[in-house]
Amino acid sequence: MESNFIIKNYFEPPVEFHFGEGGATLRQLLEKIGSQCAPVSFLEILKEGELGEGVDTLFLNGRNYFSLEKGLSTPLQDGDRVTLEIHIEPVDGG
Amino acid sequence: MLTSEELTRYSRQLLIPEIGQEGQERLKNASVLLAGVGGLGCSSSQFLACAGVGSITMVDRDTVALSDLNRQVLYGQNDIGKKKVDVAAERLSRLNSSVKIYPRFAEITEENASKLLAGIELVMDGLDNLQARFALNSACVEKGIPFIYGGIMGLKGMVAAIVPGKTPCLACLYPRIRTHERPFPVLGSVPAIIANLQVIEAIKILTGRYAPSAGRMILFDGGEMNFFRLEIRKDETCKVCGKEMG
Repeated sequence: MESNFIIKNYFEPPVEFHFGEGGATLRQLLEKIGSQCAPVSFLEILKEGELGEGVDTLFLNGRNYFSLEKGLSTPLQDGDRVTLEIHIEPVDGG
Repeated sequence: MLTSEELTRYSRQLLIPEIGQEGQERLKNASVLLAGVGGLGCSSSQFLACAGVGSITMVDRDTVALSDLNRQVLYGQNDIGKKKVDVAAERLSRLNSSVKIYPRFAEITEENASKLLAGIELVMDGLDNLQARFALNSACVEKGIPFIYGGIMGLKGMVAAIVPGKTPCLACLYPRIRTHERPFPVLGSVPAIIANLQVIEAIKILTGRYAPSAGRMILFDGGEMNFFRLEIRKDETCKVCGKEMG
């Protein structure tokens, strides 16, 4: 499984994620990204199991996540390409 | 030229090769605008004054409140109700009487941001809202003045040295403004940490050293006790600096 992980305006590492034989859903992939991305506490990828406000765009093989019948529960296939753009919100207190 | 008193007073930082006498003289002749004298500004202003920055103009619209005292270390119980800039000016003068302090009791807006920058060499962010930060960011880009962004929330904080013409600006990073709930949560030591990182960046720039961290953002998470350093990118479509850097 290959993923293209972009943090908009910050860095753009290509990241690969591997799952066991049972595969994974889009939601499980996002959970894994959230747990492995270093500044995870500054990101809001998922909120209560749904897409968080920190996500700008999410595409599966070029298809917008909104058009997927099963949404985040869509099972991923080996070789699927997921494109995710997320941003870090500023902290504005002083 | 540094006086013999100054040579003694700043002797420990004169030993830092990146500062030295030449850097210290630059600090002495420097003029900094401190935008906001709250949690961030109370800490950064003290270390700017201690370091010998020659002139500090402080702008803040608030008076001291009891709920400020967990983090705004220039103020005490007897200062409640007083203008922050006036109290801060008096305390900073006691720290270093050779520093010229100019208190301005005002709100920073798009209308006055550019005027406030007259004669200013660098801007320290001590603000508590994004609207004023964006107003200053735009004015700084327009005038080519470095802006040291700092922000805090709860146990987290961020710092970025924005150098017009060399780094992305604040609007590149945050093309949309989201207003967070007020009052915001904060532990007093977090703005102190972030403010002191801002001061390091400011002093490097003022002494003529291009801040190595410029073009990067430092994130601090006190809950996990982690620092992160991220590359930040110019937004080619940025309405503030897109053409200027293009």
